[in-house]
Amino acid sequence: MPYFFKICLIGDFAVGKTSLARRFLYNEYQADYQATIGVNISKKEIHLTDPIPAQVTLVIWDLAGGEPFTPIVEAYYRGAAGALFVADITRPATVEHLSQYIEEFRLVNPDAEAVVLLNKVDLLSAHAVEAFDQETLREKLGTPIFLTSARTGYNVENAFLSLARRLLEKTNHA
Amino acid sequence: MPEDVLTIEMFCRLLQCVFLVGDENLTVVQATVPEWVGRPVEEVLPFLQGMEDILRDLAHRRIPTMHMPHVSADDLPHPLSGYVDVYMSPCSTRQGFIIVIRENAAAAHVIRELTQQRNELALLREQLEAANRRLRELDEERSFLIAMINHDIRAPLATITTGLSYLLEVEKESLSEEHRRILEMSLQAAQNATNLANRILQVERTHHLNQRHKLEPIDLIALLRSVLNQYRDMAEEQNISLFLETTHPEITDFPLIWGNWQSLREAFANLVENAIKYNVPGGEVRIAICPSEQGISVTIQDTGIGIALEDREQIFLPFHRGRRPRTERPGTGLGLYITRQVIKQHQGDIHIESELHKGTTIYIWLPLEPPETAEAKQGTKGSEHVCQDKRPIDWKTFQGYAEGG
Ligand SMILES: Nc1nc2c(ncn2[C@@H]2O[C@H](COP(=O)(O)OP(=O)(O)OP(=O)(O)O)[C@@H](O)[C@H]2O)c(=O)[nH]1
Ligand SMILES: [Mg+2]
Repeated sequence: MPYFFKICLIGDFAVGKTSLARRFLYNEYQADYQATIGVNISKKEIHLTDPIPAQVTLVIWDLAGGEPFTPIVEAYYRGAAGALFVADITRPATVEHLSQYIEEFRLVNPDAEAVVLLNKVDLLSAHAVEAFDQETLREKLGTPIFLTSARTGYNVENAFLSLARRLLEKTNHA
Repeated sequence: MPEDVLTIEMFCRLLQCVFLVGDENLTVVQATVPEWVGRPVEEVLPFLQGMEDILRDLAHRRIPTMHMPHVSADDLPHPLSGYVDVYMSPCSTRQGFIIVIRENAAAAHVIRELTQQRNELALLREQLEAANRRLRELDEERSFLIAMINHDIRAPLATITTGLSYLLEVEKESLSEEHRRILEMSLQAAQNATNLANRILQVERTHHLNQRHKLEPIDLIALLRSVLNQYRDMAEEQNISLFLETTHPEITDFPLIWGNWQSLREAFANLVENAIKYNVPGGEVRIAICPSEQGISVTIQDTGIGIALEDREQIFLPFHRGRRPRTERPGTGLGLYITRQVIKQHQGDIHIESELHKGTTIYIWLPLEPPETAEAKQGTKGSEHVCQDKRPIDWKTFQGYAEGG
């Protein structure tokens, strides 16, 4: 049986939402910044074997970053089964804003699944990555956290697939 | 046909739009594209896949109208492309929903440009703020270092210097030649370190000149006389003659400049000290001070060993001590750096001319106006200014100008 899940990419502007989507969808990366307006919708079909063998279509809603929570943003969020919340690990303010995005998203979709992506790890030294306190953030947000790089591709597929697996698992339990 | 569907059909004929009506089973029952009728909504609008629950909620009027502007998707229904606005609302007269999709490329283009600019500006501001934060941190680190030099280095050095001087003086008779030599070397080292610490504190002071130090009208002749008096003994010891000269007819109404007495005095003292230190026995140091309309030129000319061409550019850098062997003449390598900082902070100008084994001339120009207003007004500068018809000033009769202004 095929599954369709609408998932949103949410976070401040220029944190790399579009770049992560492009890396996951087409395995491409573009260095110059082109701001997204509104929402860009793409689809990707994946085959999962875990928790059950399934053909899953992720309908990915890549939203414009940093917009205030208005009825329009609420309309974009509507019907999403899950979301990837993205921050730029080199810009602390974008990490701080994550909890607010998660809260607003849950107002619209109380049961949705969430994962957090701390993107642009390629810009940090190995030492700085090590020193980053993931544990406190994980406790605070209550979501899994992935350190990713859209530029190198590091952990990008893992993050998307992990969300897809959680969605599948949930649908099957329901 | 329900009234709202009719209105929408009219609206769609006027604008580049498509619309459809779906029922509670999510099947298209009416549409601008006849082939859509009878097919599932997600099939004709695949970008809405995954939103079945929302469509059902709309069909049962559990949620109100939704407007989603600026939607782009690879699989928009023909003939739409680029950016579209999507309106979804419950049907008013039956169980079902209406979806209207309107092309909106022109508005989207403008909004995209504006958003791009807004975000790029915001990114720049963030970067600027981060750089400022880093600067503040560095400044704090520097202040900490300075406080440390002041308390934890200068104070013990003073104790060491006093102790060694005392031993050398009191135990003069009983010390062996070798022990005396060791104590003298230690004293010299402690004094050098004290000089360095003092100079570092001077550098710190020059950085804060405009913020912390008060500016006042300054009589440069009085200032230079006080400097020359300070170095009188040193010059005599090395058999060097000091001269102060001016082109101004009346030294009692000499034009005043705006500045900070203490910093300027340190700056000129560094120059005079160098002119004596790097001179030859029997040599001269001549200071000429020449006022003009906008500023005052000061030249300090010595008959010393001169500075090699390769060193002339670097001589104002911190810790630069030229090609002279370090041990030859004691110094910290900070004097000229401090001097240039002070002159620059007074919106003045300094440069150097020199010939090896003949001597060095330093040219300084300082504006008459306060530093804040003197910018970009620099008049006759440095060696361009010819100091003619100079008259000597008797600096030795000068009696105690209040130090510190
Ligand atoms: N070094 C590095 N740069 C990245 C990475 N991901 C994205 N970028 C760059 O960051 C900038 C912003 O990326 P986008 O993907 O457009 O960001 P966005 O979150 O979609 O931004 P909005 O659409 O304005 O919300 C671009 O210049 C990207 O090339 C990454 O992993 N590493
Ligand atoms: Mg984007």
